[in-house]
Amino acid sequence: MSVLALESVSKRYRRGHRELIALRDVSLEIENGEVVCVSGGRGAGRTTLLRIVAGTERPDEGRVRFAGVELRDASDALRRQIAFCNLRFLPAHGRDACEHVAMPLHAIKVSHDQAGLLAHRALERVGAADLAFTSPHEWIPSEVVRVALARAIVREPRLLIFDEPTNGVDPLERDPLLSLIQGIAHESGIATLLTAGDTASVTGADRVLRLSGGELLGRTAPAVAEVVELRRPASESSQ
Amino acid sequence: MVGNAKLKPSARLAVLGLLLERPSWGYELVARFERVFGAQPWEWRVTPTAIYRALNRLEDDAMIEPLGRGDGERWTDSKQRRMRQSYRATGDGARTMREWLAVPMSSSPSQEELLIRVHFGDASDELLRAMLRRHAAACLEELERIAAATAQTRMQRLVKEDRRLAVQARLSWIDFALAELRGPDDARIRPVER
Repeated sequence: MSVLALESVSKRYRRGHRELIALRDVSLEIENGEVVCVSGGRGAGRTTLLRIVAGTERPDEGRVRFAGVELRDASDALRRQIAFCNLRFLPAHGRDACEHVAMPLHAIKVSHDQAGLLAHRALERVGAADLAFTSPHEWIPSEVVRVALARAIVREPRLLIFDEPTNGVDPLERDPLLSLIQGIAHESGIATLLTAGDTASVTGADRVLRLSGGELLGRTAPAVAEVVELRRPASESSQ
Repeated sequence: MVGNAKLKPSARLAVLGLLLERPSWGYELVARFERVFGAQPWEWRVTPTAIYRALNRLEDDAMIEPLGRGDGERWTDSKQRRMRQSYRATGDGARTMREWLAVPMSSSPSQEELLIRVHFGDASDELLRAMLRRHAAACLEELERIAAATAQTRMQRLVKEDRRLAVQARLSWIDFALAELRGPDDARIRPVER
């Protein structure tokens, strides 16, 4: 069963005398551990797609299911298994990477010590252990991506949504970062949706799709033979 | 078996397409070819000789046939014939064109292929949109192959990036073409009653 399933989703916005069709009849399935990259230029419907998948916007038509549950009916606990990550977040100055990564854990009442430990582990996993006690203003763009990724995976989500994962990143650092995201997704069975204005984020994607004028083009569902059965890490069931 | 279903996008295929639209003769074909494919400086240009050569080869392959002069006689002067003999497409010619148009466009079509498909494939906007979606699918599959490719050496990385950007340009063109083909009923922005 797909972790994320959009069925014939459409969304329109009213603008005075006009109507803008943001998404038209979009269907999309993503399996455990699968990395799907959706590219689309300005006005293609990317932001609307992200909002609908993240549950902050409801479609006019169609259904969105997450882990088999209609997203609009999902409990807060289930919704927290969706991690949304973009690089426009502006971490407060003075807060170090470790505290920043631990922040989502405080929201679910994880103890301070345990949160610190898990944040360190997440930073290690993304190759940013040495940033633990550094401030955001010291980070270069690829390090911002690593910290953002650590923060997104610290709660071990089932679905990771990453908008513009390589925006502003030095071209030579792009592919290693994308391979890192893919490695984590495959290893931990996290269904991953990457979105970007161009195709720079395709490396490591298992499927590549295109949003064009609100229409989603490409293989919107994984081929049966390609469905990777990845188990959730043992650490999750023990938590 | 006459005809060649594997015709490449060439002047020969374009001439066949023009003759499928209506019978024509050499001189007129040269002018029509230019009007359709070579109106802009960056478009496809061929010499009149290439058009006449295409006619000869298409006739040899039985994809086109000469029409009589009307008085039942054929041209005797070869130069006159070359200039003024009218041709029409045969059933084999029509089938060849149909089969060629049915094959999905690759992720890196030549300009000739693109022009022929857009000009002769637009029996309806819906068919053309379907062609563009197939073209997008081919581009996205190519991107998946690019995504999976390991590029360890500098040369491999340069080639991979070159290819990715080329496919990205195709996808941008498809965005534009699909927008261009949207009619009032499926336009992105449309008026609504208050």
